[in-house]
Amino acid sequence: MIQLRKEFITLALVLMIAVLLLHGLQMTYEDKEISEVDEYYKEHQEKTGADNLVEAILLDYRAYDTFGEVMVLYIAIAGVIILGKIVTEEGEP
Amino acid sequence: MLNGLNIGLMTILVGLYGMTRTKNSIKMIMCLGIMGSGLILLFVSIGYIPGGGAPIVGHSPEMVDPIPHTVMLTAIVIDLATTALGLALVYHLHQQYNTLDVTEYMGGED
Amino acid sequence: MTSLIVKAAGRALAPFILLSGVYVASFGFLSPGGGFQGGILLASGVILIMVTHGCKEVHRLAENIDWFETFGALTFLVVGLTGLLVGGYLFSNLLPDTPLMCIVLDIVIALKVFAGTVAVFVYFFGMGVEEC
Repeated sequence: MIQLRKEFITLALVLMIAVLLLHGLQMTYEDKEISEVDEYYKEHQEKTGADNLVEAILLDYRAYDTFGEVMVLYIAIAGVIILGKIVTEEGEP
Repeated sequence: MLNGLNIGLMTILVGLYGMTRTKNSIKMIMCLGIMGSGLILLFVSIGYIPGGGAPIVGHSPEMVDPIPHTVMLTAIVIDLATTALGLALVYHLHQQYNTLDVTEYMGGED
Repeated sequence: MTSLIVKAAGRALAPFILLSGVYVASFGFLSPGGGFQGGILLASGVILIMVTHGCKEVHRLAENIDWFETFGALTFLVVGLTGLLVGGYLFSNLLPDTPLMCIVLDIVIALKVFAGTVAVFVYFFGMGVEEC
């Protein structure tokens, strides 16, 4: 009985989040237009020298975001390496 | 209405349901991966315009929105990093407590 | 541990996988591809050698893999700070109309993703054995 109630509460929560997401994404269903930022990126693409627009945005216009992402990767890998060193130094627990 | 937006939304909700209902920590990390995949599909579908080609200059006259592609390229790498760190932590917890159940880690009942 | 056929196939395939990784990473500004994809390809070549031949063959790379990671992060930071000092804002393009900055950052990101993936694999692969 208590298991059924938990299932019910979880389903209600998921349905609520589904309704909220659908409400938030309503605009993207209706108008499919390229934004003004995108137009700017396309017009000034020669300045970066990269033909691939994804790379131009990733490494030139928004390189600061990529820097933050690189730092997140660095910290996560450092955590994995430190966890491995703990195992090898203490031996078998 | 089987387009990328709806399928991405459904995948996110499936991952959320699994994450709230399971007690196995490895299954929780798998649900995190499922939610990430749904998010990637959703964002790439938001940037699609009908008849658009790849966002490379000179490839096609009309191209899709390249900004969601860029954001999702970042999200894939963050997904890799969080999965690796989570699995390493789960390995240490399993060595410590000899179980994968998350309720056992706190010692409480549920 | 592994059979002769697997060893020969891995040894024959790995150089081509590494070469395609270098190509995808360094020509990412012209064609589909980029730093992340090239880094994953490079890492898959090294991981193929590790799986077929064991960790002993690449132990010098596996022990010093964290230096690649640090080198990548520091080079990224140096490129950004050079832009700040010369161009006025962080990550400003010093040479407009040339793809030099994209190429340098692509190769740096490829090195970093390669080092991270190989480090994660060494950690999970060397859990059971004493030294990897």
